[in-house]
Amino acid sequence: MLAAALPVFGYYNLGQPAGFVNDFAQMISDEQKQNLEIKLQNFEKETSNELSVVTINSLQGDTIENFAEKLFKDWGIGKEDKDNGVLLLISLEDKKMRIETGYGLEGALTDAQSFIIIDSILKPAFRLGNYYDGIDRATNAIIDGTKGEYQPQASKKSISNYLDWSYVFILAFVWLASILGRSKSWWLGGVIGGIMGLIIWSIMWAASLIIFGLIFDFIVSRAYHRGRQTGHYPWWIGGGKSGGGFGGFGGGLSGGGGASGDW
Amino acid sequence: MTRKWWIIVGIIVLAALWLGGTYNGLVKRNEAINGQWAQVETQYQRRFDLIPNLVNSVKGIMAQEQKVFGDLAEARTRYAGASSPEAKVRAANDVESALGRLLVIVENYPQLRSSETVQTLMIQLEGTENRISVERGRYNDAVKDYTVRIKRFPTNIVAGLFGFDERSYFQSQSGAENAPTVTF
Repeated sequence: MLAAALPVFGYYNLGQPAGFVNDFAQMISDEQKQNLEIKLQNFEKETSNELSVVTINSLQGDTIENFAEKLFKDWGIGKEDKDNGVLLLISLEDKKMRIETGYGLEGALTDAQSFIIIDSILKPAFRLGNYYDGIDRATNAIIDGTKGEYQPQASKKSISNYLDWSYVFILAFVWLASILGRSKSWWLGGVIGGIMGLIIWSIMWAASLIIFGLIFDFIVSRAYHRGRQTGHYPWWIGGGKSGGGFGGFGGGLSGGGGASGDW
Repeated sequence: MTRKWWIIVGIIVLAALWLGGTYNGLVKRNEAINGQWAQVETQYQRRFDLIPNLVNSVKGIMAQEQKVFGDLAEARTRYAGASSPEAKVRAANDVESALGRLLVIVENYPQLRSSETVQTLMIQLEGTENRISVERGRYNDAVKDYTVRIKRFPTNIVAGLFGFDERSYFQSQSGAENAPTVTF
């Protein structure tokens, strides 16, 4: 049947994901959530595929297709270079569910397979109110369907890429700090910031980078001069990254593949 | 004297850098639209590849519904012959409405609905319709991003200088953005 009503774009931001399982509608217990989370973490470690389970109370008038695609994009489920994410989205009040597959898994998890998972696993279980049972078995089916499509080695490569870049940034930072700190002027940083801003983008960037450069130059110059007086040079580049637990998704994208259903 | 020249040279260099950066930014955004249009066409092609399979598997049983098959075939031919994106969009919209009618008709044949081949094809078509609407939405996002650039000061000066024209948004028929829902 052709849906007649025009879609109302009621997508709303869900905030940052707390893990692979985000049970906003509180459909499963904490213990069940833990079990799922561990399973999905292991799946990610083994295959690099990112499977996320999200339950929400309401779509607020949106279609589940649109909501799933927007959420998928916002969170970036799957690795950026492989788009190997899957989102199982369940809306409790609307009694609707959708499996949204990332570009990179459209071949492994076809629309027809997604439909069958919804139709033969999720629907019957949800009708009986066995939410956890349905989600648990559906994720198993998705895991079985997408295993072997990707190897986890490549994910290490993307981490090392990331490290290479931060290494370059730190090098550039130290290099600029050492030059600007030694230079007598306190304005050169602003000029460099302005030029870099123009090369990268536009007036807005230039203006903000000029201010940033001035402040940066001022701070490193003062620190350098004070260091020269006391003979004790500062090292403030450290600063720990927030670590532990779920580190967010990898930046994958979906193109509307998958299947939807209701119960 | 020399100081004055240094300032002038500095201003020229900065202006050239800004011009270059802005120009490159516009080129990048313009190309993003082309890339996104290619994505839309990929999904259109996917739809066209699925249609003959569906038509062949339902044609025998739906012998009295020849008109919709004729409409579909005709719109497909027009799409293949379309040269401009606008003509392609028009033909694709006609395919969409004919396909929507076909899917509604299929629903009325219980023997078709229970056929596994037809069911799988319908699911695939439904998925394709959704993909098309996603890629079209992103196409419009890309156009919007570009349009804001070429209209906003001071980028609009560069855009006018190098002839960056406005790109048109995807105007779909009302209701066409809805993927046909298949219920079994």
